[in-house]
Amino acid sequence: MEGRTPLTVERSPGSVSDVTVEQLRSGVLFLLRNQVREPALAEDLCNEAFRIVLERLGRQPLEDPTKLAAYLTQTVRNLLTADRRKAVRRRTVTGEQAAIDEFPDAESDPTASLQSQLRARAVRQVLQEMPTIRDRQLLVRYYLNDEDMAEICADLGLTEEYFYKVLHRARRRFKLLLDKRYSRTDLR
Amino acid sequence: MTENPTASQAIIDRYLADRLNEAERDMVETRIVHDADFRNEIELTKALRDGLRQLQAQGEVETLLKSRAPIWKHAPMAIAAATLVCAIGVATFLVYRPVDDGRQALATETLRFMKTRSGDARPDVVWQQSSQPTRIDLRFDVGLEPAAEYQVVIDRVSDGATAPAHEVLAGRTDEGEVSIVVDSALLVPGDYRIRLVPQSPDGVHGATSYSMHVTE
Repeated sequence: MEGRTPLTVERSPGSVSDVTVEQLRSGVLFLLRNQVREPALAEDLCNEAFRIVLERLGRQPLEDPTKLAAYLTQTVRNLLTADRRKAVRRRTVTGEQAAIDEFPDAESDPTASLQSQLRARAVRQVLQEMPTIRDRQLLVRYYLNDEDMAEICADLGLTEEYFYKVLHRARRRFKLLLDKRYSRTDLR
Repeated sequence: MTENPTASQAIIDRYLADRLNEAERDMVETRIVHDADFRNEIELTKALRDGLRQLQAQGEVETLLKSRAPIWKHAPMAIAAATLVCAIGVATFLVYRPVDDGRQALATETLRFMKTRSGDARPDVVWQQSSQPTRIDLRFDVGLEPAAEYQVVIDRVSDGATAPAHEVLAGRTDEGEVSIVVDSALLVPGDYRIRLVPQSPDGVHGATSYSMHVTE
């Protein structure tokens, strides 16, 4: 691609700087933590993704540096697929026990349980502060029941503009409550 | 590139609800990897969804959809306030009933004001005065984050000079609008400038101006 410096590991400018790696690493970890249960596995897969990508860049520079995130994301997806296949092959339990294992026990992780309680408290306050029951219904139907926006608007007689206005206010208030009362780490 | 925040949020919501097709999901996940602000928005929405799920697990959602809880947290105060309101209501009814009989029959007309676009010389609302006395409900859309209270100042504009016509303190409605009701006699034909001055000490909210033209 004309006008762009190919992306390599060693050379600068255009190389993958420490800052870039750190920023991308946060993103990759976020993605992985939402997809795998064990934090240690997420870390391992993240390291593996970076090893693969950096080795590839060492052999052959990326022609378009803006594609680095996409390349990294695709590598993460491939690793996740491979890991899931491996887990299925290794599984020794079957039937009922396998089904039980699919569902993690939320109570077994005290930190997660506390975070969950803090979020619930903030959401409760957001709902209580909403001026109408209809606005509360909107939030619950959209975020809890995953109902379609158009369907909710038709049912409650709302415009799309009003719908997003209510959501925007609720999210802003929720963020404010979390930021005020709890540290940012409580969110994670 | 300026991105529409509503569109961005809509795609986050659909991602978390697992409603995206493969191409859209790839696009979102790539953005998660390189865009920290986008990631924060996802994190926040996810936390909100988790909080709702937790409330549901605790059996609180149904209750919250039925009641307006906060006032009843202070039951004695609420009962005292309700009693006072009833007493004032009954007294007002008894004292002013003969006078109000005529006003009850007045029709109410609602005029809605949206935010003025800069550079647009046309008035926000044009209203033709009715031949009968009317109560006019002026409603103002004050944006996504309204202040709790506004000073509403109505000035009559004539030949570039302004003269005060009306001034009142108003709260916001359940719909997030600011509403005041005025008698039609107040608005004689001419041009008006209406200013909404937020009464919040936070400095976040600025004053908003609307324009109105009344014809005969």
